[in-house]
Amino acid sequence: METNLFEEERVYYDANKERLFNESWGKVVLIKGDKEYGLYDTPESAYNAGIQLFGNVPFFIQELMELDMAANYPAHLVNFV
Amino acid sequence: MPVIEINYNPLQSGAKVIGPAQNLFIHGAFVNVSIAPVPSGSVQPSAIKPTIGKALIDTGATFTCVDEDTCLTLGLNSVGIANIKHVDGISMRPRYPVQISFPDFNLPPLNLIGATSVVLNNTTPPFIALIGRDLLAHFKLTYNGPRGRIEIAY
Repeated sequence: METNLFEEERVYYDANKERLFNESWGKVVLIKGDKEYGLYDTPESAYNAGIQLFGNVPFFIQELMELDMAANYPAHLVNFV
Repeated sequence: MPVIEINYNPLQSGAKVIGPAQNLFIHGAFVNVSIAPVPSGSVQPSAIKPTIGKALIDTGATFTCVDEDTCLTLGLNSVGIANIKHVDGISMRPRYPVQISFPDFNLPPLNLIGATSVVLNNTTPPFIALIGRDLLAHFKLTYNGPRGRIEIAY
């Protein structure tokens, strides 16, 4: 399933990724629309901040680590599940 | 160090009884889990009934993932995107904040902010989650093949 979810946020993240990695490696960034709403130590603290700022709506949380490669699910891939 | 041992009861398959080791091979190692929204100021855990079902312990899975229908039933809002590999290439899937509990074990609930959603509703037995290496990294896991069981220490 392709999704257009977070299109604006992903454009912002891709445009600022290099700066964010250089300045804040290991932190978690909270993005909504084309704006950053802070850097956090853990995904949970970023999530809580997002809930406080925006309520129970979608917002974009990204760990600033080189984990952008595709995740593997071999069991899913071979239809084991 | 507490140790959880998960044994597999033989299942009936036609006229034959499937032994525990074969059962583990055929169906994989699974545990009962309860999936709920991550408690926060605007999401009261008591207001939403958690989804209870089976989760496959999947050492091949990079990250833990949850069935898409389960995420939609719980009314979760996405907090990101994950790229996942499948037969047709790579596609994007939403990531959701979930709280995973293990009703059969004395383990505290785990908050997982970025669980990837995948379609698992056509599986046998029906799974609602795959427990991936991001969670398994917190445990010592032993696969005891001859006994047809896994042992989890934490």
